[in-house]
Amino acid sequence: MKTASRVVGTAALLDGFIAQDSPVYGAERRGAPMTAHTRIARETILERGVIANPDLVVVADDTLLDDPSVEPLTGTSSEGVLLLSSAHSPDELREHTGYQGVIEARDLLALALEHVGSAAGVSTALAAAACKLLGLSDGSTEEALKKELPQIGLDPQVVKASLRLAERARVGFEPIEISPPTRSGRPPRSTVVDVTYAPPEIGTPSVAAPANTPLRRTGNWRVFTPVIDLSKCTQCWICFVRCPDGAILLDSFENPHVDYGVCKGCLICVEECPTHAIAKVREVREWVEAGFDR
Amino acid sequence: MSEAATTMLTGNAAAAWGARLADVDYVPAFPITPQTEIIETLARWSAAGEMAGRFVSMDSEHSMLTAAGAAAATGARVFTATSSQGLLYGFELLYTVAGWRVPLVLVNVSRGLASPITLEPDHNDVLAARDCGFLQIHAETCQEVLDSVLMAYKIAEDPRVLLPVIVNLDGFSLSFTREPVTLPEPSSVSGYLGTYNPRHAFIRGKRPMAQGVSVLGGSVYSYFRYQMQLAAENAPKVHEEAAAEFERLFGRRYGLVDDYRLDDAELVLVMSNSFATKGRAAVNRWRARGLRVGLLRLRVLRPFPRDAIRLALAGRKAVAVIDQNLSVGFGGITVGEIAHALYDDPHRPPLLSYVGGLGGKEISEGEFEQILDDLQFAASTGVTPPPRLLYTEAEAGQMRTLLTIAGKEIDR
Amino acid sequence: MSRELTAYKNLKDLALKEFILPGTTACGGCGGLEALRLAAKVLGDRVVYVNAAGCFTLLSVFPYTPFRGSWLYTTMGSAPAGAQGVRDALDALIARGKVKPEDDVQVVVVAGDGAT
Repeated sequence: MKTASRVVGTAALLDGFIAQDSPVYGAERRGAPMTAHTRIARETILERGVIANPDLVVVADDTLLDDPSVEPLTGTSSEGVLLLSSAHSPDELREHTGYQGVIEARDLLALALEHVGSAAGVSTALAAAACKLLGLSDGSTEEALKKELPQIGLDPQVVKASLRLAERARVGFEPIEISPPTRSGRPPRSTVVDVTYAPPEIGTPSVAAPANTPLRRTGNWRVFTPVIDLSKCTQCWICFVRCPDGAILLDSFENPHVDYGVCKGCLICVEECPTHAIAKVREVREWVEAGFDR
Repeated sequence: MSEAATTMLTGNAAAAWGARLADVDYVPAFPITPQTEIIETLARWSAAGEMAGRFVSMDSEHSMLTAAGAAAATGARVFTATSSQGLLYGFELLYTVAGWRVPLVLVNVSRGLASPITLEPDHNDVLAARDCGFLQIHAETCQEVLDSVLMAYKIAEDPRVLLPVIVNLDGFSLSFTREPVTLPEPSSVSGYLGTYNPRHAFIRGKRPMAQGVSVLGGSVYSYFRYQMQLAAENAPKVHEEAAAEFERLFGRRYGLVDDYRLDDAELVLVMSNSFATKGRAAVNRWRARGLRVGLLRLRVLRPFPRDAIRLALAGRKAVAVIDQNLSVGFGGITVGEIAHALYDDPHRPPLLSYVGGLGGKEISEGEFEQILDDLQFAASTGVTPPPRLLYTEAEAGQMRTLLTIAGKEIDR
Repeated sequence: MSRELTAYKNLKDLALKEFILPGTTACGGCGGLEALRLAAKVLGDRVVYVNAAGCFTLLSVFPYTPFRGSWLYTTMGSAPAGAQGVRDALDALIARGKVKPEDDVQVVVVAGDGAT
């Protein structure tokens, strides 16, 4: 998605605007959870960092809508646009999120899998769609893709396939007039508080609770999900042993069960199962009350 | 020694005695001039069974400071020592260990930083560490070194602080200089310090803890960093309590700053560490001539004692700060911080800045006389002379000779 | 610490219990995590992992830790020295009776070859 933000930034520059794009992430590895920000203006951009009030929010995975550490709709107004890759319809998405602005949604992930064979291609598709929605020219969008995609090490065939993906992805999208809401008067004042000294058991950067990472439901990382057919299982333990995260549990009959709340969908278990008892299935999540668990 | 005894000790030996009397559990060590005598002494005592603390040689100061902090994070009382290049070699660990909020005492024997490489003292090394979260106490005498190491454990281990402490002493003029030092009685010291019983940072089988964890999110990082600032802001009060108790037990009193003949002084010298003794001598000379002069000695550098400094200096006719350090492109370091302390005071005096004593350069009586002239000029005119880099005519002449010998083609 | 060796000849010799729990932000499919997870089944929970800068540093991000044991991140290049400090401190504290022998832990360095 950093690439997507750069495609939009470069396309805007090529169309004669001034742009500023920047990512926010922790560890530097491909596929890490991240947010990227692109600002586009006609004059010098006097802002940096996180965009507090976005006009357009682009979401690569609709499970992020319910992720409390992400909350992608923060700061949006009813005058903005939400663009997602999702198998759900805009109406379902509106009902689920309560968002009042324009919602544009397509299953761009399926398109990406079809054209480039990788879920990572969804960023190309979203970039193309975003450029279209913003009214950036198709020519500049294509130039931007040609410039940015080789920079992430994609080889020429993949870049070519990505350009075709971009063409298909923007079909059905039309430029939307987005007027940034006029801000008059003083911005609302955030209350500045005094931080007080906490006893060291509290104020020291340590974690006293043991082994609490399962609270972070990494299950929403999955694009494909492993589904075990126990009728083919020989209770060999290979899937249990090879899962890097320990997301497979064995019951008292030594049958494996996937903890879908944490399974990241790496599919090592699918690869390693000697009886091919585990299937790789494209996952489309139903909305569930609690959020995004399957 | 089984009772309080007075003996001739070097600053290094005094520091070693501090660690021994504090009954430390662990000393990771790496040698460097001019502190090596400290760890040689501790090694000898440890091998002879005279000290219970475990002594371990490490492969560098970077490793030494890591081991020291990790041992403190495990729950041990830790002592270590270094200087200049060694302090800088392990520099990132100073921030890391302070951020872990574990107490330990690091004795720095100050020495000028390369390049050019030297072995003689100044304060650029210890002052480079002023931002990291370690508290800093700077000692003028060998007695103060010993006493400050003991007080440092008391302050560092207090739950209102839990920040490690650097105790600084000058190389050569204190580290290798012997003075009379009274050794407190070991049982009195253990009464004063007790044992270190951490409730917030330890490694125990039954109660696992993740320490030094990563943080993502500026507000989370800021919270923990602010906690360090707040802990440092608690330190003056904790220091006061520790000093009062120390006076009660051992009869010697220490403050955040130290003043000498300051009460009715119109002109003030501000100095730190062992060369402050020269400042006292200058004050005495000038007092003998009927001038009202005093000395303010900076002792606790972190937390920076703004109020104490402002109280001591506001209303004077002129103040001269002698920095034995140089922030290249800025000038003396402490004068900038002192100016900040005085800025809001309507009676802030002219503040004169001197850089001297770098690499142990002598500050002669003649140079003190120049400073006095400048002070008197500032006091009578209200005009502050520009900062001076102290250097004498004789030194300049000698330098020309040396440059010539070195093959530099200087003009006749 | 007991010095007896346990032979792991069969997958089923491994403990079922997890000592490094899921939910970390390691890449899906991380081989390093798989190795660490399996090693943890042998090391148990009376252990402290001492780490130098690398991907594993992000296993423990405040307020989470995946470990049933303890963890200490040091700095780049510092994990062996940090582990030495922990080991020495535990030995010293146990020898002085300040920590009970049953509270001892195994000290394990976890880092990449460049970071150590």
